[in-house]
Amino acid sequence: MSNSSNNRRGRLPIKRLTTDAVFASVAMILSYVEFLLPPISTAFPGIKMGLPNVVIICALYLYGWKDAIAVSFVRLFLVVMLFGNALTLAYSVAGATLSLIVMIILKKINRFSTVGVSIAGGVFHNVGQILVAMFVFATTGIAYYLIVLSVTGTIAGVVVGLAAGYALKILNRRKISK
Amino acid sequence: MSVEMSHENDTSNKNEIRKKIRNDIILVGVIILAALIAGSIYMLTRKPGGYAVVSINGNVYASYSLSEDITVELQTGSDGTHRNILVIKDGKVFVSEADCRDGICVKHNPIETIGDTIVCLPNRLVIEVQKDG
Repeated sequence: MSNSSNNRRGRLPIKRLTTDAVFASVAMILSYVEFLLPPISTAFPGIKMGLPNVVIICALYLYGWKDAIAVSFVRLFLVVMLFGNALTLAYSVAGATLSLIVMIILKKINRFSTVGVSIAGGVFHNVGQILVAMFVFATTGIAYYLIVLSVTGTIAGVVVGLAAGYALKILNRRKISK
Repeated sequence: MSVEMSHENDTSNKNEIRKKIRNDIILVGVIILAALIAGSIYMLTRKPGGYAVVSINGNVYASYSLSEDITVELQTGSDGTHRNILVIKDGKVFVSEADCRDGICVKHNPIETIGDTIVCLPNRLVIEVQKDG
């Protein structure tokens, strides 16, 4: 990964910069698509597919953790500015940060495929959001939501991880990262 | 790393992928098992509560006994200009009407167990069932 990053004294190669920009916009559109879909369960709001994570995992595997963070946060601020408010910003930042940290660590130890990385990312996204909710509402009564969210997050993570794996296969074949 | 994979020798590569898939499956198993254990503990320890405690903006606003049927209009939201209607009927609590945009609190099933909550994010309302008021 680092061989593609350090030519020309820390300046990003145009191809990488452009691909990251495309990743961020695709992630934003996927957030919007997810927003348009009907909620999966009304009894447990917050159950989501996590489609943007497909793109963030692609950035992580193709270029490394810095690009994954950049793509994730550019997408996050675009989505919050367009559709959200201060409260959704807090939820999104907490979820995205925890999810990114866990995914970067799991990618680094190199013991899991994109599926494992994506599952952990999805589950910890939920953990971050529940933590903020517990803080905002000053109650621990909602912690049991995590039981349900962990199971649904795992299922969504498998789908997202498989999708990211296929996308990476195609991106690598086209030598996008070179 | 994945870029170079195709150039490396195939057998060690296949082994590595197989190991990763095995670890993925173990991860799924661990999460599902943990959820099952936590879920069964939750189900086994649940008891019907005595009171519905209403918090607005993170502050306790009122509590209502579940033994009497009532309907209350709550002034909610960060500035108290919003509205949720709380109903207690047959020992269960639910929100019958709300002016929030998503209406998730209205769709939520009635709650009666200690620790159960109905949350209305836009109006900053939490209704939690507790043992005592």
